[in-house]
Amino acid sequence: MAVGMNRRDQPSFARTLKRVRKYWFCYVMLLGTFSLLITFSYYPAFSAIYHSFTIWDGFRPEQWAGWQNYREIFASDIIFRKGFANMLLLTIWQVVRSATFPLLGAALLYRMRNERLAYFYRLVFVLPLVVPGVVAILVWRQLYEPNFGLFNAILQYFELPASAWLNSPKTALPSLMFMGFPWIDGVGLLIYLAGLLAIPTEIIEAAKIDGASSLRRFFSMELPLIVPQIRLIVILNVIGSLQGFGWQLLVTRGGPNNATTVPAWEMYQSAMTEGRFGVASAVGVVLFLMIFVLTMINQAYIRSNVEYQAD
Amino acid sequence: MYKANLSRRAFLQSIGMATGVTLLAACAAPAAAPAGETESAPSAAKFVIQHWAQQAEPSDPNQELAEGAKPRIAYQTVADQYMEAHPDVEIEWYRFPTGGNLDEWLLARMTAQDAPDIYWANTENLWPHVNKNWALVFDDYMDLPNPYVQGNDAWRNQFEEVAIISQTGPDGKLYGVNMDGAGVLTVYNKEAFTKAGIEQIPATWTEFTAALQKLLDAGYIPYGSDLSLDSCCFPHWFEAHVYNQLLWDDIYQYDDDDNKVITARELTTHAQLGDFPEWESYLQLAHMLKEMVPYFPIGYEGTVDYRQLFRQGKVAMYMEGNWAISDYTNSPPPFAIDWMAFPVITPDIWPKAQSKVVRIQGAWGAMQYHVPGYLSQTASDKIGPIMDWLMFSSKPENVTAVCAETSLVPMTKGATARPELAPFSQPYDRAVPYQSWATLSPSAQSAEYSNWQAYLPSSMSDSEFLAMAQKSWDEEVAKILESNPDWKI
Repeated sequence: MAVGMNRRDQPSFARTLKRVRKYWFCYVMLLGTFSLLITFSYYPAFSAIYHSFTIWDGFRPEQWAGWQNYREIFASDIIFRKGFANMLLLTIWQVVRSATFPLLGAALLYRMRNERLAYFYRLVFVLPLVVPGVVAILVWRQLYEPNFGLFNAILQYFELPASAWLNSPKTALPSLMFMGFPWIDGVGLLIYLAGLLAIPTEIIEAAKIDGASSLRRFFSMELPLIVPQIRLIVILNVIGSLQGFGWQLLVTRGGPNNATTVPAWEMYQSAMTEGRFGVASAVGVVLFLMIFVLTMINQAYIRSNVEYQAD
Repeated sequence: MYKANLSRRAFLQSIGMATGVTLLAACAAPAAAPAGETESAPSAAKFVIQHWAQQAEPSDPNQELAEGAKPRIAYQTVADQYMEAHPDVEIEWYRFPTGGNLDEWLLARMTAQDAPDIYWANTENLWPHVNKNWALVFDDYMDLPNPYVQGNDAWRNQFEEVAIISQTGPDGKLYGVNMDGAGVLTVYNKEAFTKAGIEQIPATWTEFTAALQKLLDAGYIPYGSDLSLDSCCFPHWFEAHVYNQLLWDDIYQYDDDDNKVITARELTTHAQLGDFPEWESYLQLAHMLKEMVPYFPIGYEGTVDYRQLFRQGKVAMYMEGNWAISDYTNSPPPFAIDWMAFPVITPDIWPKAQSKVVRIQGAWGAMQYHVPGYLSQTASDKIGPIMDWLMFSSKPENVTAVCAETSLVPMTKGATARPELAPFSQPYDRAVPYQSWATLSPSAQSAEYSNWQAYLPSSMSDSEFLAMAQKSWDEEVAKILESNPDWKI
């Protein structure tokens, strides 16, 4: 419970100044961190907002362009129509898979009675974390390879027609979404498991005594109690999906025929291939606004009925 | 004994003080060197020239060679000779990042001004950017005699005309030196041709498509190709071979400076005039490409390792550059191979076609070097040694030695090619002056590949295809004009 504060307790400007003078060295110590933060995080961000209103190739002085870059983005078939549609689909899929499959894995581990076996399975789920993401992506790319890959070899064994998988505009996006099967991400699993283990055992025991089934306990007790973890996973995945273009960079380069492109990839292309830093900045600003709004929505509306307060 | 106690507060104060002082020191301007100690003054100081020699670079001793590959040593031998004669210069080989994308690398390095002192690039990668000082002008140095070549009165006279033309930018200035070149032919599996009953090498388009069908019937993937920017360079080369034949009499109308090469600026000019591309011929090109689709490997819309499929005997032929000769010599496939020209297009296929042989043959070799333009401001004292090293590299015997390893065609007078390159020396009627949208910009090439990826596997109508192609061409031209406002007419 928050401790109430009356007017007399509130610090006056003079009192604040006195405290600053007394602890001046703390502020000096913070300067290092803040200068790095400003140089490498805030300055580029504000620079991007300014440059999104300019035509700038990174070499010659920028020219003021008003809303031209934004108009170009929203008029572009590739960035707006395909890119944002793909981003929306991939984000929804990313949220669904990160909110369900690792949770399912965590719930099963949580219920295991044999501790040694539970430890073994936890290790099995978490072990793939040591494999760099890039390596995993490249392995999947090899599996999908239409002429040498494992998936087509299996299809051919059963005398089924081979598929072009990532190479066809029709199947590229679903193939990309299937990557990472069975989609149990080690970090997500650990976060959910930590949330489940933090639930007081008395509550669960009481429910068991009252005859609540395992499924009932999951939906009526465990799930509401781990909403903070779900919220964290959801927001991290939303941000990751909106900003990310790792699959595009390493696997499809946004193709074929822009079938897998997303705005972040188009931002990278505009900047790094075409040298159109103004357009790239504008895409970045749009993505920033989307992430900001979605984070606010997440904070405001996704709430648990019961949250444990810190002591 | 007196023991001084440092309170927590005093400790934190001293840390705070140290942080403040460090920050102030970091913000201070670098101290000037003491008098008489300038960077280049000491006689023992060396000029380190970082050189990205592309395919000509010596093998990295820290990298394992592919099976059957022989280490490349020729350019290292040349560098060793040079460094022995010039102890104040060190040649350091720059290794291009594995899997890196040239266009992205160029843009990043030029923006950061940390490119190697000598770098490789095809000039189509450079022309849209010469106004941004990406490449140093070579004219003054090209007019100097090469001291390493007896009797040479001007460095430029050492090279074939096409090598000089290739380095001539949109403003008429020379932006690099080009010592070798390349050609493109179709490499084919002789056993596959025999098994498919192909007795004569197909010379015309009609014979070629008939041969493709026979190879398909014999169980082969007739033609190795893909539409990926990651693998070189089927759609780009196909367009070069076909479009030049389709426009035979008219192609040079786009060559405003009559140098037999159509550049990005010329394409932009004619795009604004509305006479390039010639869409009727472009549609015919699209039809001919579509005719080949049944003979491509599965997944041709994306990246396919068709070179590996060829080595495995599954793919019967594909288009390849002459640089592959060294790979095929060092590590031959388990069947006999040979090379053939791209088929000629006869008037019964397209009325303007002239039944003549065209060839991609020109200045796209590995010894095609540029110097970043910003060096004239940041390290002008280095430019002299850089040019001297390039002059030494271009000695005919040095070019011969390097080309013997790279299997590229010397464009330096007096240098000789390895004998296996004979197929690439066979006569042809015209070296293609135009290649593909890649000449306009990398972004245009990407847009064109996307169009092929949409059109080829679908049942898109001609009018839909043309509308899509015209829209993306216009968008790409607009981007080039945004980057080069002086190209507007």
